[in-house]
Amino acid sequence: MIPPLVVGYGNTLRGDDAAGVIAAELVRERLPGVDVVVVHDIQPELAEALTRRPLVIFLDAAEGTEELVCTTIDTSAPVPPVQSHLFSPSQILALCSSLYGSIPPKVYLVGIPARDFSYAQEISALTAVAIEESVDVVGKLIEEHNRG
Amino acid sequence: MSKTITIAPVTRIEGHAKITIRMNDDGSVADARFHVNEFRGFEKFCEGRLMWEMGGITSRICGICPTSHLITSAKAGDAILAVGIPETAELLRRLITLAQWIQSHALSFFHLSSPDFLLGFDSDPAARNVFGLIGRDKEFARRGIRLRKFGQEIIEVLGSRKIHTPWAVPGGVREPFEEAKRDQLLAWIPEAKETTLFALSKLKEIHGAFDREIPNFGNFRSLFVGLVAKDGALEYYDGTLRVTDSAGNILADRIDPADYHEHFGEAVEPWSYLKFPYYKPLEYPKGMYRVGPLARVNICDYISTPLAEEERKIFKVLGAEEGVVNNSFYYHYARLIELLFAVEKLEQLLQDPRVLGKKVRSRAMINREHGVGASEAPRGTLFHEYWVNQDGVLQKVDLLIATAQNNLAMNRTVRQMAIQYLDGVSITEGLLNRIEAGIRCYDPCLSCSTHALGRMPLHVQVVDSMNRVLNERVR
Repeated sequence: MIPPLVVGYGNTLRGDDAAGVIAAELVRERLPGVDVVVVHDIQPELAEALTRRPLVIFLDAAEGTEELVCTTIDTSAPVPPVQSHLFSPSQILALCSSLYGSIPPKVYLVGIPARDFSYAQEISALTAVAIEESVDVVGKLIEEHNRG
Repeated sequence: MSKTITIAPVTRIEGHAKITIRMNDDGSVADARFHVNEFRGFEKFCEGRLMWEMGGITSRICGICPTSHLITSAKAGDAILAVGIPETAELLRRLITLAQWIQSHALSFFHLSSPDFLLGFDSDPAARNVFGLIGRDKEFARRGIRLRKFGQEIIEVLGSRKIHTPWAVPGGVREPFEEAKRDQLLAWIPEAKETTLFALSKLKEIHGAFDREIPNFGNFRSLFVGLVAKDGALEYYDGTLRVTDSAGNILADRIDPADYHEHFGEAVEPWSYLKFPYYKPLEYPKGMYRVGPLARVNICDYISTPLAEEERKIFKVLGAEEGVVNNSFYYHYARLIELLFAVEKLEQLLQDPRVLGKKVRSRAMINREHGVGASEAPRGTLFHEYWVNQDGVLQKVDLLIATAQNNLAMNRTVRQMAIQYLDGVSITEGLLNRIEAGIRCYDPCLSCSTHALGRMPLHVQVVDSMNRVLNERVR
């Protein structure tokens, strides 16, 4: 059985932008039976790793919110055109669908509150707390998925 | 009334830039310039840091070619330590340099340039991307993505990360290579080779489809510069510098890369943050030279792997009359020849038992207060020069980046494209894209010498000599 995939992405040198990366590394440590990919940004090569996954969860820093935001990604919605090699979650899913003919049935984007994106390897207190919450949310999503 | 047309930013390149075209009153092109409007200042803020940190710092200059900066920085560090690195360490550094070529060349050809070739310069810009490619040729797009993934996987396997790996250090590399990982990478070789040959055959079809456009795609005479091996073979990690003229005559050879400043100067223009390197004996701007795939394949005596050498001989026919290939459109062809070389050479290195040696690092204290490292990054020759005190604290840093060395040639290309395709009246999408495509031949990486301050939409303005906007277009 192919395990769920958690994708954490962000820039670890831009303060709170590292939230997705840190959260994904914690998922790797704490949640067995989950594949974890950590990337600086989402690039086309990720599409192949999404194929045949029963569940995919993206973890990213989210600006303009004080609360953790967990949304399902509507894979039927039109995606904005791609102008470089960098992709958003919806664009990479569209690429996965175009190239391999399928997309994961369940895809979530967990947005971790972030406010400071200046050059730093430290994260704000708000983001630090939210990262812990995000790992719990990922655990619950996986549990829910496993229960069917 | 004179007009100026501005294209900003140039799309599908690494970093941000704009192009301006100033028109004469009669509608002809007066001048065209490629502006790099970002500033980074890495050289300055590295001062005061420890030499040992430079691999980690300078690899952050770029998300596409961090490995080239890492390796070149480590080589500058070797010079400061005054050590010879272990044989296995050199082979492993060579492996990762080839991996960098593979992932970067695959990105340039398949992701950034192929949409123009397969969909056409006049196609809808919203579709001129990887999705458009899939619509036209799914197998082509899939193979391109897989090939780049192979390059990234080598870097990840060797350095534990796809980008910004801290794996190479002054004196060698941090860890030896494992046999199981070697076998994992060897398993990719047949597919990588097949994909590269497939890309070459596609490109030759493309040449046929664009035969009316190619003669004006950055076709001019210039010098060519790059590293070559001791026996004149195509080189990527070490070697000495060779300078040829536009007929292939060798003007200077066996230049120690540590002496690059004696041969190459850097001019500054007030309208760009990117400097304008030139070959000193011919002075600025006559000393314009090109680096990167076109230069490397032009200046080498041969390529040391069979399939790539066979292809180089076919490539040489394109420049038979002039002595070398002077047309920048053929950067794409040279890039694919190098891609083939990289895959073949990688296979040779992976099959060499010495890559599994356990001694991978020479240790020493600071033995010199100055060191230069050079290697061939995907886009051309890269130099790192450091001055340190006795504790290894950096006093001064000089980085000469491949993209900067192509700056004069890129400007020349933009001007040629503008003269050929602009009639001074209609600003069509196809026209703008052709001008941008002239720049994309060089696969410029502006991130390497600049700092992005924000992303602008593509904004074209036609203004008169009083800067009044006569016409504009935004996409």
